Amino acid sequence: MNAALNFGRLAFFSYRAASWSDPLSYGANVIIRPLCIMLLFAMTARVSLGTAVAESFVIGSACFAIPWVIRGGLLSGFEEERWAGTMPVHITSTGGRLLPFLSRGILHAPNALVAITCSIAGAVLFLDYSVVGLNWLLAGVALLCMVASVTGLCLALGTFCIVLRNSIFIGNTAMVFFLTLSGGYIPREDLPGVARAVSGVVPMAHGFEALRAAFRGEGFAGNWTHLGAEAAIAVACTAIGYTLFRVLERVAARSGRYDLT
Amino acid sequence: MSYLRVFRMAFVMEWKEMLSMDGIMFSFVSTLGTGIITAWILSNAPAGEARDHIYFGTPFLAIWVQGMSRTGLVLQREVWQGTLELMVPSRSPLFVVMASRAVAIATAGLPPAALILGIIYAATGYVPAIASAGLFAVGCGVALVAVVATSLLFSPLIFIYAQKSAVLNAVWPVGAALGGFLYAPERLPAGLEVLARLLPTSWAIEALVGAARGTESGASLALVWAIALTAVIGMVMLTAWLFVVAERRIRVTGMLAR
Repeated sequence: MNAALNFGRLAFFSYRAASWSDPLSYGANVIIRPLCIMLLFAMTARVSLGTAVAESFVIGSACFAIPWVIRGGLLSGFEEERWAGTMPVHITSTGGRLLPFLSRGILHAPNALVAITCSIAGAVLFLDYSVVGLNWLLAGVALLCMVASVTGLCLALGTFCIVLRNSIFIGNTAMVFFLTLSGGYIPREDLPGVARAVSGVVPMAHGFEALRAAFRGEGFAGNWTHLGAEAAIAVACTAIGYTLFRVLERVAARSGRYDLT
Repeated sequence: MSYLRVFRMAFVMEWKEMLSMDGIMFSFVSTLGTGIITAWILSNAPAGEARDHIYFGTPFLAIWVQGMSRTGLVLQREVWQGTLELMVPSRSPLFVVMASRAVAIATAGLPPAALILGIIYAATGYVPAIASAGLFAVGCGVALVAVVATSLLFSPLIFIYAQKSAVLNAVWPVGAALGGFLYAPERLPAGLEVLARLLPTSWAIEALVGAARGTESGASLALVWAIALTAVIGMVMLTAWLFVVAERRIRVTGMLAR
């Protein structure tokens, strides 16, 4: 019970620190930005490549709200803990490490889902986008897997934010991989050889396959592989992130600083 | 004369900040994704006005996004470092300082814009023909001025609002979607087209594409440029007034940000 309570508290504090309680900050990041980016790319695709690609871009743009929202909340949290000097509290604590580490990402996930919903609603409202025939359950599971894998990757990148103190650069670099390799905009089969191979382990790539199948009205049959792969990437990223965080913690405890050099 | 000196010094200061490794990496990494996606779109799009619009508008979109992001980021960092307060008791008007910094940031946005064109060329080999180099050069100048003026309009708001990143994240996507960078405003749904027409960038980019393709006469381009520049002048005057209001509010309340 205590562990659950602490987990909830930690998740809440981590969430509150990310300025989500500011109405403009929340509205800008969770509603306005995802909606406008969807409009920008879907309109660009519609006028230059046709309706089919535009519909694919609607899904891609809507889902890129996931890394935007989660990396904004998580990565800056890691960096600011170093700036604000609260990181030593973790390191000197006698409590467990895994739950506080995992708790950082939990409350950002619902924001990502709100952002996606706003984007899709905007596409229906402004671009006559149709969700008729959507397999809601498959779409929901695919989105949850994508949220988990992006959260895992951001947790893994968090350690780099503590060391390098530049969450914006690290987050933007991660976004380049998401935007170009995950298949949200550029179909994975159009990528050159090496990039296509790498895209298989980029978070969201398999989720996009399952999500597009859901929008085509397909069921779970034939999509378990994609969902399983996305979930496996989520687990692997989280495990790598936790390992990196523990290594940094040991280095910091031994040397008295967070820098690895 | 003293305002010119203020303008020059603020420009130099911002320019040096932009030339730091941090500034350069931020600029290039931020535009890399957009460049690759645009290259893919252009490699699949049929020849025509829509494709040319994307080609000519993407660099200005990059400058717009860079300008907004950098302005917010720079001011946020100044708050953290406690140097923003120094600007308030100074005799130099905030408007002059911020205008200079906006120009510096936009100028520093040119290399990332060139990077995007480089990515497009490497991926597609596509370089549209320019019908009239002179009109095209004027079009580029007007588009750049429109981008700077539009980004400057939101500086007073970024200046006085505590969550600076919130303001810029609320503004730049709207400008990107409605600023006419990647498609003509008339392609937007009816209600949104009206909003897009309020932004000088939508007129300026439209004229730029027309000048490059040679589909518009000199007189009709001049008219569109006149509309864009009138909107720019209006925006600059409004920005100057907003800065005076912000400055007064800060001096009276003693609070830099709310």
